[in-house]
Amino acid sequence: MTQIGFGELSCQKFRAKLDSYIDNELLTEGNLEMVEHFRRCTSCTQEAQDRRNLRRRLRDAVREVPVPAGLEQRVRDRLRRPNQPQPKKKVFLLAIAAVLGFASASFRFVTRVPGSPATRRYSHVSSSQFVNGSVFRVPWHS
Amino acid sequence: MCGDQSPEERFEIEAMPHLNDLFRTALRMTGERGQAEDVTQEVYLQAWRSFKRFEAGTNCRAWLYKILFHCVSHQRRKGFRFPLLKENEEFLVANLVQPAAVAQEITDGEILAALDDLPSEFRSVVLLVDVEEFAYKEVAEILAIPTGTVMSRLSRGRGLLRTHLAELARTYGIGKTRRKDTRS
Repeated sequence: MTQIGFGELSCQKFRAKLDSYIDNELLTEGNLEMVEHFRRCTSCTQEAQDRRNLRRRLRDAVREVPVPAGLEQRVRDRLRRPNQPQPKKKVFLLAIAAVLGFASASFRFVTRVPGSPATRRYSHVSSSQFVNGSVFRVPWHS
Repeated sequence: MCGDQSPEERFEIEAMPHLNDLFRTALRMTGERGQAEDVTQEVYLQAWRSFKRFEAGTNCRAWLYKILFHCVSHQRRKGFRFPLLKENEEFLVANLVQPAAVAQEITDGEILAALDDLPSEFRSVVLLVDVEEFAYKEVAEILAIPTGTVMSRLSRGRGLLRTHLAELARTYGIGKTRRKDTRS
């Protein structure tokens, strides 16, 4: 255990202030007290070094993560057209529109093309009967 | 100095250089690259819309980060919720967490994973102070919390990070006896 003189910091108090010291958030007097403690306590000096080391490793690890290619350009494009939906949303809406369009076209194809199962079955029904919804009643009454 | 510059030019000079850092912070806060990109785009869009209100010469970087954390919390409300922590001002106690050196064997990926495992309240403060090197007062402004809360969250976040990495180091057989004889 390091001997504590008058006005010196104990290790406990030192470590409570260590983060603020490393972050340069202490006032001059506080910094001087810390430096004085460092001179006497190798364990706390090592502790400070470890914390600095962790901070440096963390900073390097985060900063080395690659940024997506073209991000800056996409941000600029979006700033030029601020009211346009984001690309993802646009693609999603286009996909929904395409599915609806395909479904509608398929339905028309099945019901209109001569010779298709639907038109063969109801070939005796006029188009006006088809339209007014009476197609299901007509065969029973004919 | 910038009286004769257009808003576009000022925005280009003051805001655009921080794009990559904002994306990386967004990535650590959201955990997903697509979401991080959406958030980054949203930050710049909001910043541009309110850029007229931004005072030239003030801290544009801190202002952008403030918007970023607003967007992140908005996204979180829309999507899923992180468990909220009870704020506890155990500043002194938290500082006494057994520290451990970061062993060289621990990779950057493992450090990032340990960071991502922190509760978001702690992670945001650790990112802003340790990675982005903001002062406590600026972090308090960005996150709209008192400076004392910044200090306590930082201390607890760093403590958790050290503990996590120390456990990881032990699995590699590193640092088993290191602390016993060095503490005074």
